[in-house]
Amino acid sequence: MIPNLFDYQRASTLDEALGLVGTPGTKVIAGGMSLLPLMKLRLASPERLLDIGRLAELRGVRQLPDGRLAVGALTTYSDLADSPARHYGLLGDALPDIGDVQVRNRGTVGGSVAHCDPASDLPAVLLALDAEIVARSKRGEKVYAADGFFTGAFSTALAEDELITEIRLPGPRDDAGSAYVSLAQRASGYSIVGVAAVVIKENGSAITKAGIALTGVGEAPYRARAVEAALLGNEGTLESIEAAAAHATDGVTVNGDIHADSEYRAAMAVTYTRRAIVAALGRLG
Amino acid sequence: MATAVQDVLGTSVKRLEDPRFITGQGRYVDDIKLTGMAHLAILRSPYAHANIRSVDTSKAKGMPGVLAVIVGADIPYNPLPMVWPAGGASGITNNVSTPRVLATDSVKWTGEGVAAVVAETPEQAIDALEAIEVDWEPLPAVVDAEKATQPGAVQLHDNAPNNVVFDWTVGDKAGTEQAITDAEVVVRERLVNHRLIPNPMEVRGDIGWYNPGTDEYTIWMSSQTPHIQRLLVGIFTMGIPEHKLRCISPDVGGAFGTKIFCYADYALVLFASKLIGGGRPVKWVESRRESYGSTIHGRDHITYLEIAGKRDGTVTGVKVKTFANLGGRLSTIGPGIPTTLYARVLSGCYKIPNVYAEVTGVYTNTTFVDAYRGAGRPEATYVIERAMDLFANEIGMDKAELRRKNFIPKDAFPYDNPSGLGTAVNGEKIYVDSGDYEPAMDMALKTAGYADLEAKRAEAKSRGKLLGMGLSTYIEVCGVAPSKWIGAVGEGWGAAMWESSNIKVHLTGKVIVTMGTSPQGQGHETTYTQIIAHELGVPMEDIVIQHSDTQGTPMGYGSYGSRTSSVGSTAAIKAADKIRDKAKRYAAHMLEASYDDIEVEGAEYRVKGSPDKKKTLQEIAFALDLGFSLPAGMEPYLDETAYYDTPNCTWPFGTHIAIVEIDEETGETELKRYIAVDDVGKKINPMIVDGQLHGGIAQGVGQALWEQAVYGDDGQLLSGSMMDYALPRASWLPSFELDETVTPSPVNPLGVKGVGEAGCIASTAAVANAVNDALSPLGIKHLDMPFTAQKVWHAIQATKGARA
Repeated sequence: MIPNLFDYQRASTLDEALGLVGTPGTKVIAGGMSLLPLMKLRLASPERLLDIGRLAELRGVRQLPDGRLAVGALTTYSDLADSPARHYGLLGDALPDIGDVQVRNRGTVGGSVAHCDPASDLPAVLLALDAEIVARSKRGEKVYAADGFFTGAFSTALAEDELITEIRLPGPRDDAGSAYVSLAQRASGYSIVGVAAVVIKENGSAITKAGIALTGVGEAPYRARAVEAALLGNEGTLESIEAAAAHATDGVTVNGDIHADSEYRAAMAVTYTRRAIVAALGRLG
Repeated sequence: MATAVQDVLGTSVKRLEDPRFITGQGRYVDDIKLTGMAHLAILRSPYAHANIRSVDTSKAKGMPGVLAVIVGADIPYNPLPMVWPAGGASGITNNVSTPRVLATDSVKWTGEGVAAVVAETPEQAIDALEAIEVDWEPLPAVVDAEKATQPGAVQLHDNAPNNVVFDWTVGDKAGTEQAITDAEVVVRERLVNHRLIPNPMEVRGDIGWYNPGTDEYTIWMSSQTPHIQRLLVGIFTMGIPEHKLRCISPDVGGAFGTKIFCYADYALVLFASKLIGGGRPVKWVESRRESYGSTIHGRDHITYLEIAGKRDGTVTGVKVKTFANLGGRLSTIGPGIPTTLYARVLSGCYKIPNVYAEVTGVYTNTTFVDAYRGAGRPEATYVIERAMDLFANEIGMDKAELRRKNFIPKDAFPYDNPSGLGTAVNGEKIYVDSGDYEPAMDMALKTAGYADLEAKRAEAKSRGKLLGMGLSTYIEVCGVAPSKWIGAVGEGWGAAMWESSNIKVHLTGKVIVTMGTSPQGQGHETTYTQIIAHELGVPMEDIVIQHSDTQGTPMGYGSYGSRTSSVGSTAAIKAADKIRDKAKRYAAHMLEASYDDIEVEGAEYRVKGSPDKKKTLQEIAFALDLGFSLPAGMEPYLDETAYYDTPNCTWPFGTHIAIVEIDEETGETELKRYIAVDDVGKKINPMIVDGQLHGGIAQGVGQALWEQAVYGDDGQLLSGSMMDYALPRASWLPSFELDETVTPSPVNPLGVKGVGEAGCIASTAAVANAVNDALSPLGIKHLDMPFTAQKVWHAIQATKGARA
């Protein structure tokens, strides 16, 4: 439980950090809740840690003039749960169950997104919300749609020299309901299946927009397009939800491990997708 | 006039240990930092089975801070001892292979030690491990005990054909087979009691120190048995006699059995200290991940059960064939657990005329298996309690009524169990001392609302949940054991099992008690203090309990098997008797009265009929310590030692009931209620008893629902960290509903029985029966533990396929 030797550098400004991000052998550390366990087991042995943890400008949640929420990359799960973001039903569901108290107090939103653990909860939430991920590099700023950002296990669309600075969530709306439900792996607490659901009824009784995203199931968190498509235009009867949820793993190679083989995981993806949609619609009233 | 001291025996006084434990002032092995101390790290096999062609340490020796690199061939010691062969004096063959301090030619499990580095810092030692080059010849592995015995299986040891350590039997084979042949009903089932990884909060560690100036060794060890280790590490392994080795167990942060045994690292740190010279101590502390391969595992039985009886519910015979997985090499008492402590208690609290067990101990390419909380008795309870439910289901009888019909009647004690520990060898027997099983069961049934089970089931079903209720009417064996019985049957440590206590009442009247037992967090300092305060009439704050150092405490056999309250406490009472007797003789001298005229109440020694003529224990101790006026033949000082050999074991029992709900759609199982009625005899400290029960129940529930050591076919431990091995958490458990009956044990003066293991002996079976009860409406007859969501879901799906 002792890591290999490594160099350590703390960035005191964002520019200083951007000057080092992407240099060979360098790994960015924020809360360290994912990286340090890997280093202690010597599964990761970076030559240098670049600590961005004290860049105050990357911390905190603010509302943008258009109503959207801008979440600084260094905002911890606990801080996010104390912010207006908690009023998003699915975030209110997901945040209290992430990790443990220490992880929630140290782990950061940007770190979770950049790490892209295939079973991490937050990426599914961002996918379902159609969030944006803002990255900076010496070359400037780039805004990524969450959809398409999570490209594989522990891999994202982020360029080598980019640092995530902010996550932008769409503004709150009265015609949307959302929920997050998950089946936890008992030992680690990671999701065997986690489903984030956002349903929008723009003009009355029929669903006009849906964002359904799953984590823990495939190589990376993903949008369940077929489920979303099947929901559009229907009024959310139990039968229609069940029929839509049946597509939860369409086109996905479902993971299997000692805790949940692929058959069980696939079945739970369907069940939990249905439960997430029902819960989201329930919040819409 | 002496102030009357409140009697604290039997009350829930707060634990004396807790202020230091909960404020970080405990002193565990890793807290100890000695001058000049070096650090040791162990290179562990990445293969489950491999030959070692060569080990190249040249690069590692040149690494920064490295003082020595050690390989197996450097170490002149014996392989580690195995001191509890199956069958003991009966002469059956045990094909023994135990670990060496470091492996020399081959490794038999992932985690077996191959080489070690001693360095100035732990970081340097671990870095240098990576520079050791081992030329491995990987071999195929076998991890399943039943498969390992079959023709064509991978062979681990030349002296163990078919990987069999022993074939051992107990009971009447012909009679049991006849009972099965004659029976109206026979139920057969294959039961798996899966492997567990014990997780004491403090991992193991030790510091070895060789003093070249005295040619003496000292070891600080996180051990339950420092006195025994002086024999096992010193004499058996290193060839060093008792007067050259001192063993010290400082505070020990939990053990659950794992710290009973003789581990390779003990001899290794002592060897390393001598090797690097200069009187430098050497510390080794395992990491949690390392612990999963280097510290013993528990359970791991595959059992073929047959239970036979009449349609009226009379059970007439139980026959089992059990494969006990003992790992790649044998741990200290590995073979004793699935034999004496399992098969000999198999019939539980039932009067079953014919019981026969065959147990095959098996080598596999897995971590060695030895005693883990309950040790054999949870495995036995699981088999017999599942058997009773299976039998009840088969004949359509109420499960509680079936148990009631087969209980050993309360007027049958002392009960001579024909296939049990009482099996006579050379005339020595152990009897089940006492019991009254029905009241405990009735109390539990009432609390659980057993009569309304079907209504509860229907209500849950309306919510999409399958409700089940499970009984476990258990019996357990504590307070091991009469030495003469061990000597006669050869079952046990191959040594004695008495206990010891020394009491000194000092000049100031303060009392220092030294004990031969060794706590691991149970609160022995508190309970012993309560007993001595009661016996001598002195306030608790005037007493201190010392233990766990072979220099300065009397020889004892340590704390395990729920033996301390019964055997250790009685030694303390015997020592207190001697103190009181000497104080009485001296009071007679001081008061110029005859010994017979002195009456004792608390700390007051008075002349009968003359209440003003009296001396306190403190006054007596003061005068005896000064020794200015001693009667002829009396030694100065109030200092007495007692050794106590118990005449019998003790036999707690009770009924536990678990109520579970299963989400039919996902297989997720939730423990909704847990009711436990235990009879542990009289209680020294009811709060500590409750604490032991709570922890034990949680541990047993953990096995039933979540915990499981999983090996791949190649022998890699897939559940190799707490990220994959699910320990129970408080938030997953309901508040336990505890109650009691009290049948004082006739074996010891306190009437206590022991409680360290009862909770987990009972609870695993209760939850297993509850889950199977919940699944029974679907036509599921038996499902093995642990009841993970995916396992339960697959079982439910299979019934849908069958019904479709």
